[in-house]
Amino acid sequence: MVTTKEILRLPEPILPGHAACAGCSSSLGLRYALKALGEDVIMSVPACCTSVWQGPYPKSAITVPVLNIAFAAAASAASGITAALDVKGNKDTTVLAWAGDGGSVDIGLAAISGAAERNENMIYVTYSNESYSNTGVQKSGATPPGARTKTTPKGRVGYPKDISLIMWTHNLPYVATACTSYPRDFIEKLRKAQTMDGFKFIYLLAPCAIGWRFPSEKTIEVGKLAVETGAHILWEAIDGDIELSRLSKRYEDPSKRKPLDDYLKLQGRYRGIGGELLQSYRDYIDHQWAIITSLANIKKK
Amino acid sequence: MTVSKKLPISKGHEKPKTLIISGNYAAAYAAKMARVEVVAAYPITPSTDCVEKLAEFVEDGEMGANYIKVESEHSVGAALIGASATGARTFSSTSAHGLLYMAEMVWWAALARLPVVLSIVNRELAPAWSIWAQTQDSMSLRDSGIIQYYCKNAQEVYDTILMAFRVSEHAHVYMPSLVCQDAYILSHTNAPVDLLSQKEVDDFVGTYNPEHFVLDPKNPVTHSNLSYPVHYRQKRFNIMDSTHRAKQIIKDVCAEFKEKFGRFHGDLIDTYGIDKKTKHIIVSHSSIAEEIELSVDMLKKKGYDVGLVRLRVLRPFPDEDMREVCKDAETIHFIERAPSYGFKGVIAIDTMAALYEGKNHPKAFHHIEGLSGMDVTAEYAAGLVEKDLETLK
Repeated sequence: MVTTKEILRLPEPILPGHAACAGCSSSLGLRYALKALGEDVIMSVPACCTSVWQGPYPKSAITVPVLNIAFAAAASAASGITAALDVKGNKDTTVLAWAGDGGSVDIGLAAISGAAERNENMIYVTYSNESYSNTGVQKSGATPPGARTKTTPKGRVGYPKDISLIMWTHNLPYVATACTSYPRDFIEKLRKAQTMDGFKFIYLLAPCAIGWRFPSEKTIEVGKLAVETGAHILWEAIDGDIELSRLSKRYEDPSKRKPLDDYLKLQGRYRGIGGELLQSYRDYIDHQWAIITSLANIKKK
Repeated sequence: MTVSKKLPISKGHEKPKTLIISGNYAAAYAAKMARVEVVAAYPITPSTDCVEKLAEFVEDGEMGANYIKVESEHSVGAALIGASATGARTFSSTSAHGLLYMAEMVWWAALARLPVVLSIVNRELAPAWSIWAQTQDSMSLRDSGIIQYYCKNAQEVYDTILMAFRVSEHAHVYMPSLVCQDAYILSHTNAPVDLLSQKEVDDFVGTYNPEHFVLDPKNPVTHSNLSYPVHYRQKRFNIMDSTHRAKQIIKDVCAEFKEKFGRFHGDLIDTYGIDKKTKHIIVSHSSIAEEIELSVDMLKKKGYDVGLVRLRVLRPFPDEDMREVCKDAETIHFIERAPSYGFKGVIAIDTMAALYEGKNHPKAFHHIEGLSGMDVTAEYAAGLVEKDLETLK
């Protein structure tokens, strides 16, 4: 396991002075991602928070090459980068598609599914703030039940799409979930993915102080509570075999989980939301645990 | 990153040869012989034959490109942009709805200054479903900055694609290109096409060595991040300059092609039966214009002083060439496939704007013809012009 000391010693891939909001976890996430993957990386970034916080031309806060691309196009542009590197005989450079939840689960879904089906050689990270945060916090396909956004002012009704499981059905070499509050787990997963050929997918929960309405100093705490309450399940699948990650393993037993209210009450997006919608969030979480734990029992080998 | 100078394979072209092939195949042979490095493709009638042929070349080991079978035309555009930005020569073919679905990425390639080359089969747009020739698909992208060539036959398609790489990859241009041909009339009609030898193509087209930027971890750049008006405005001005400059570069490349290989299809425009004092000028485009060459012969026999200007390049627009060729004309007769609804034909609008800046303003007659692939025969087109001229008597 990578140590915190080692993470701190790695070169800083994100330069100071970038334009992220106070308490932004997507910038933190990319910092960890590039620390994990090293300097020989090319990024494809669609419209998302990262397209803004990297900073305006002629400067940039990101120290690896970045191709900014249209909203729906992160996976397809990354496929082109991969193809060009391959035809030039470059087997070393890691291609990282770095997209938000809207750019992955909604507008970019066809492209990500296509690239996954072709098993394009890249790491695709969906950093999810569970909404269109960059455009001012509207509901996305990843918004959880009950969450208030600008387009669900009375709370989101219905269940979100689970992009990680959608990706899992594509028979990929590697699928995992992570959270920006657990950098060691995230870095381990990225490094594992980097050793593999083909399409590797990581869903990174990235709490958003603005969108979720919590004080900016609570970002890490909120992310930890997402895992500790069981709302966000950390797992990974190597060649399709799903396993709960160590950090979530202990919450398989619901009695070990912290009360969901601890997580919800920190966030303004759930304030004043009716009990029925919050119950549907609880039901959704139970539902997700049932699916993940039963899939974890299926072993291909 | 190690950038290898090794060119992708292109087998089977030691000597020049003549093949009886369709416009789609002519495009595929040109892409293969230009040693395209990355192809991304999605099927759409009637451009599928081109990308099928490329797949065949790649799987038979005759072509060394990386071929990505993407899930939509939007992804075709994005993949080619990613590959081109990484320094690869890129190519695809599409048509009609495919091109419109890709439209966002066509603009992106242009504003990113990436020399992607696309073979376009001009096809009618739905609804209702129609698969026959119409040029509104590509002409609706007129203002994107992408260079647009319209070909009259399969030979011109082959030659123009080779030239398009030269022009698009020119360090003073760096803009993408569409090389257009009419659905079925060219895309599916076999005709003799003279292919150059591989050595001739290699010497003429050269390799793509981007000087402006390339995604390379050894020299990291952030491409297309947020730009404030003061910077973005300058970028737009640069594109205006480059696309204007492209006119002379297209002319030079066409002249060089003619000198080396003896074939010339015109440069920005092509003319037929025109001399300095031609009174009546027909302006047309694409395969219709080849038919109208016969109309010109018919009308000349009847004693009319007519000639044809075929618009080869819609953007950049040959405004000076149009003024020069029309400087003594009394009438100008537009016969074109693409209307701009609520006004006139696309080519007429642009041509008349160009003539406005000149001294001579010939009387104009407008004909939108050949819609949805309707035949425009030589007799019919000659009749249109004859009727126009009768109204003057």
